Amino acid sequence: MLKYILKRVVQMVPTVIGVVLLTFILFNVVGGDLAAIALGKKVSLQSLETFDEERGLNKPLFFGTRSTTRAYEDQDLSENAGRWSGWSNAVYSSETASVAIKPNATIDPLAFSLDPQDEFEWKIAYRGSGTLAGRELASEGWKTETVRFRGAEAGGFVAGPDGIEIKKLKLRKVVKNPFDSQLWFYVKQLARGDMGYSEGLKQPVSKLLKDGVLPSLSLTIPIFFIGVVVSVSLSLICAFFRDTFIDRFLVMVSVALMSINYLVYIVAGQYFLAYRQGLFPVWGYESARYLILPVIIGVVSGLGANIRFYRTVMLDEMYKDYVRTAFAKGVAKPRVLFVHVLKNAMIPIITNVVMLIPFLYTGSLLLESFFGIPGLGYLSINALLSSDVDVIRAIVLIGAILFVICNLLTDICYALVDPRVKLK
Amino acid sequence: MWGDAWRRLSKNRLAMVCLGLVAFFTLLAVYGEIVCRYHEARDITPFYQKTNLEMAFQPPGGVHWMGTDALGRDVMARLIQGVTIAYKVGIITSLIAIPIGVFFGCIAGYFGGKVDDFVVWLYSTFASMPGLLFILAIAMVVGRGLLGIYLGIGLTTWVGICRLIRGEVIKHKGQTYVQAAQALGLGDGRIIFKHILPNVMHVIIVTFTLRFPAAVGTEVFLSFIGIGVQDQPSWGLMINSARMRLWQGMWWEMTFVTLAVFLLVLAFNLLGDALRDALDPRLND
Amino acid sequence: MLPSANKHHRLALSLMVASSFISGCGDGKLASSREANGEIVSYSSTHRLTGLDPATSSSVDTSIAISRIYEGLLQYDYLARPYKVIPLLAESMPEVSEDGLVYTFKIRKGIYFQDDPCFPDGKGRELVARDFEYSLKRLADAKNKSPGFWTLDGRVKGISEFNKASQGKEPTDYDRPVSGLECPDSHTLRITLTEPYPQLLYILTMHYSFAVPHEAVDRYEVEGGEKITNHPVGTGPYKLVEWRRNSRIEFVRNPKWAETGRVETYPTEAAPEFADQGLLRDAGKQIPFNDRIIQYVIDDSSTSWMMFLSGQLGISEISTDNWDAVVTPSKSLNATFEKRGIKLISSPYTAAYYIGFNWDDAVVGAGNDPEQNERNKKLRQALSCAYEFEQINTYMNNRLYPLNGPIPSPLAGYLKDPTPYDFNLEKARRLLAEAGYPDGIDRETGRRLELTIDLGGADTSTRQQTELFANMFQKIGVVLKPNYNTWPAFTEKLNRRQVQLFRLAWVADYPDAENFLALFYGKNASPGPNHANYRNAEIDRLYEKIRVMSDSPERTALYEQMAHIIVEDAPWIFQYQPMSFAVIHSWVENYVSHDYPYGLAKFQGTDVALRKKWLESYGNKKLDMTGQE
Repeated sequence: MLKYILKRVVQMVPTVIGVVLLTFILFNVVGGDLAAIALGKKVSLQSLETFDEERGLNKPLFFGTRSTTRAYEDQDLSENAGRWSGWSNAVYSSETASVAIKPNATIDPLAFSLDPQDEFEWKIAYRGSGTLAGRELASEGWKTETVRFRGAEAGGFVAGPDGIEIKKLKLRKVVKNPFDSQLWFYVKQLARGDMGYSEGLKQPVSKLLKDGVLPSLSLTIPIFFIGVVVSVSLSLICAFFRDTFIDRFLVMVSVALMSINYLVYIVAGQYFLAYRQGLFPVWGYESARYLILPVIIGVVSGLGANIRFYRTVMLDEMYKDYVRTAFAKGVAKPRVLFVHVLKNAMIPIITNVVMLIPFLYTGSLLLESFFGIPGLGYLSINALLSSDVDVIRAIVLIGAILFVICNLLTDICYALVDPRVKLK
Repeated sequence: MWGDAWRRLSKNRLAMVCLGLVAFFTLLAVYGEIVCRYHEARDITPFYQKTNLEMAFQPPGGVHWMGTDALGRDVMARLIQGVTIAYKVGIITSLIAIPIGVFFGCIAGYFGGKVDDFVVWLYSTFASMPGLLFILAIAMVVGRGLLGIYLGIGLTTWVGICRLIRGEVIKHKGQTYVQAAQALGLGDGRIIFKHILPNVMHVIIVTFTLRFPAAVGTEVFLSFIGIGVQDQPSWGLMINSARMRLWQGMWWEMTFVTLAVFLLVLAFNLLGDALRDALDPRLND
Repeated sequence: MLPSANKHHRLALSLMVASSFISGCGDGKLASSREANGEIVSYSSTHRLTGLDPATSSSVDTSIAISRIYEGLLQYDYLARPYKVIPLLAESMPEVSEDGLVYTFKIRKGIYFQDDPCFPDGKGRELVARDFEYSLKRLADAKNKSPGFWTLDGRVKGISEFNKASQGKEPTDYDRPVSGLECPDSHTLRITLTEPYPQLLYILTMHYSFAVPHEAVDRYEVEGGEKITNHPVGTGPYKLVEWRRNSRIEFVRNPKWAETGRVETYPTEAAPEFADQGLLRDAGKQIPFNDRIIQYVIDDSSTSWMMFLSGQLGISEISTDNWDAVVTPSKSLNATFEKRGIKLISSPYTAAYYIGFNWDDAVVGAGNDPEQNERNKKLRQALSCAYEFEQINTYMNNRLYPLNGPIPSPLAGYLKDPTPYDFNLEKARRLLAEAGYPDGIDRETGRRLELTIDLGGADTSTRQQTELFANMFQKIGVVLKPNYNTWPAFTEKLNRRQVQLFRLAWVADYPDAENFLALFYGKNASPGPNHANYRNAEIDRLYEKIRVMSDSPERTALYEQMAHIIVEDAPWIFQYQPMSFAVIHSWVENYVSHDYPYGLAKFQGTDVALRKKWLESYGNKKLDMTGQE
């Protein structure tokens, strides 16, 4: 048994790696400029760089010897003058797609001073003469050159007596350790248990998660248990009255329940039950009473799909030989149903139920935001609407890892119940 | 096989009603798309976007069968445009998810071994992601609008079909017609896509029918919270604005839109069930 | 400067508060009444607080929350109209040198910070002049990226040098002197200016200048620390109990006041209209009246409306959807509401709502050459003429006023007459043709001209108003495409000048039109508050002239001259100026609407007995949403 568990744990590792990779790819690779997304207000390039530095975003993605810096962001001179538009001693021409620095002029295109500890590289396509970061440049025709310099040195231009024209210009930071990448940074951060920092709420994400998880669970756990009990009971009724009016009626009702939009339950429940009838508070999270209405709505809205699922499970079970034998031996129908069928149907039911557990923790996005329950669902919606990337990433990641763990637990339970599973 | 299935299906009266409903919605969607394209080509503002505050909140009547909304626009015209958006979401997300799922499912089932291990790893990774939140995260990264919805839903829902197809293909791999094809020295690609794929087509059709309403529901939700459709009449947006005046007696927009969502989702769900029963009773799960 | 989002959120702020009703009480009574009454009432807002640090937080709601905990040298008089600045932590109004450059403040003795672990033994110490020197330096500290640095930048002597010195990587040295901020003794603060700054007194009522103890910053603003923005330590009437992000914040009476015998009282004089309304009933009584304030974030207007109608909230704004149920066409309260003792409060609101054009944009901006410039100007004017105020006003239940130019009433300098670019479709079409788009057709593409507008929200009201704009422009053949952003993404785009048209509002920071004219000053271009990035040498010259002038007829004449130039250039479509309406329950006492309500909640009270009675009579007989029983 121990060997099996160990094997499954080892098998879990690639999935966890996959999950980490996937969140990394989604947010770091596809996500674009996280600093610009997160820092809303007046921001200087310097503070964007600080944001990058704190989150390791100014490193190569996976592996590399060069990385970009915001001191001079890449730009395409064939499109427009960009940051070269403001200078009095440099002229942009769209015809040649280049910038001409006037003779003997001094220009420092860096937005802020570079880290003196680091080494940098200019990649330049130019003609004319002058110096860049203290290195001589001179060429009649267009020429591409690389200029390496230390962050402590002046990185700007001094044009020669005839001026210098620039067609392409890129700044790169020389990375000392090519494995020191964003991915490595992310993995190290996770290994420390550091979930990042919410720029919008000015709090560590781990604290936000800690604060939000209880309200979420206080909403979803009742929904979960009441939902399971009610729908299993109703599906037993379906099975008991199989193919009669009651069964069909219940199936129809559950399909209808499934098709009604969630919003309808919320809007109607809040107005009629909470406001007009005054049975429950309209909004808020002050005591257990505030949870009753959201829980009812949660249960009702999930009922349709659950009844259908459990009914199928029950009916599958009822076709099995042992049930027929039991009936043939004259065992009473209720007894067969409640003792034998229910007991055997428990395995698929539990599997289904366990797989739902990871979703409990994220709460219910809509219920939480409508009723003002300060859980993780509400946190996610708010983070989403304010582009708080670190929060979303952490919630997604933890949800996925919980799922993997629950998956493992089900398999182990299975193996305990049915030893044949191990052989597969 | 298809003939049998059709016979079984046509005996199911409920399924036929649903099929009719689906056909009706499809016609509306096509009509809506034509109207939208027509106005775009002519470079004029479509009538369902034109506001007229004097006509705001007219109850259903002779001119406006479903009444007008807060800005005096005809609810029915907008509702029909909503069908178009719902269909676009349902179809385009399927066009993203189904090919990915089928491709990975086929190669995993057919080749087995390392390829299978990789595909299983890939879909267990995606399956582990918390569904709706993952969609929201993708939509956030891609940006507001329909593209975010397409990619969000499309890239997260291929897992189910991949798993089903993989299972089916494994079953078919052992069968004689595949072994015969292999013995004839046909290429793997040809065997997979020309011989096996047609035999698992019913899985794809059932999956499509069942994931369609789910995608529509998700779109309504995303638009409702404001990260979905931006400047077209989507059902989610309509519900969001209609609920503001619902209890003040302006019941029509909310009622008709939720009814439309209800009917569309119901019709597809029931039809999907019926199709599954008709095409392959074994799939019943 | 507090740029407002797109809602009338001051309405939402209009306060509601509560707990025990205390009249002129001594310490003993205070304690007992609090025990006797655990009742909590609260108020709601749709906006999230961004933080509780005076130096790094901005926005109207945040400012109100900060002013409960922190205090500054000066405050507005609650009941005086026109608005008047009076001392708060200063003993009296400052002594000002003859040239208007040196302000000397005497700080009150016996003011203590609340108890907090950051102080030795956890006991709050006495406030001294150095605390203000320190707090003002925090605005200049580049590491704080303070949104309030503009209030001092270039105005206080030596502050810009301090800002420069703080830009490096090493920790900022707060011992570095700023020549314009001196403390001759422990309770005297002397501020020396580089040029006259007539608005300085207003500036010192704003939360940016409030006193923050350096002990708190030293303790909480460290690596991995709690951050001062989450852990405020102030001298004010309240202290923070709990803050659940995005949902609820709770304040409780600051016990340090009673402990140190600090007494603040309700004003004894009022503008005549307020005196008539009985607002002087509590004159001279000790404040604050409410023990506990709870503020919720309720996004949904129908939810907060239900809570108001069931008596859970004492005050509420009136959303466009509920308007018809509450207010009769003659703008008085519906009878069923009156019967329940609900009062309707309305007041003009000094704010400008506008649609801005980005001056850097090739189509609607300044253009590359004079000819292009002229054509783009015609286009802006054409769009201004196509904007139909009456439509938006109808949509907003007729509670708006037209805005004639950049300065809202009642500030000196506002234009009384409609601008030449008021709604006029004929003129709009003509101007559009002159701009080179006959019937809206863009010659280059052969299709209608397409413009995009960026918005900082996606709620129903924003969407519907944008759809109305699109329709107005559509009438002259211009297509308007909306881009709905989140608020942070929107400000980001504004700062990067990536928008074409955008919708924004500006809420007055102080009663001086200079605050609005600053929005057209070239040096304030994005990321400054001039988000249209408007540039006009003449305006810049005039602005530099008026900003050192004190109120005088000449200055008002210059204000009007600037307003005319701006109207002609049309960098904004001047949308409207709102009238704010709110409903309050009978038990909310001493409520007055105020354009600068920061820190003034301490004057409001709650009649708990009345509230209880109300709930008994009406708690189970709720009105429906049409206002019927």
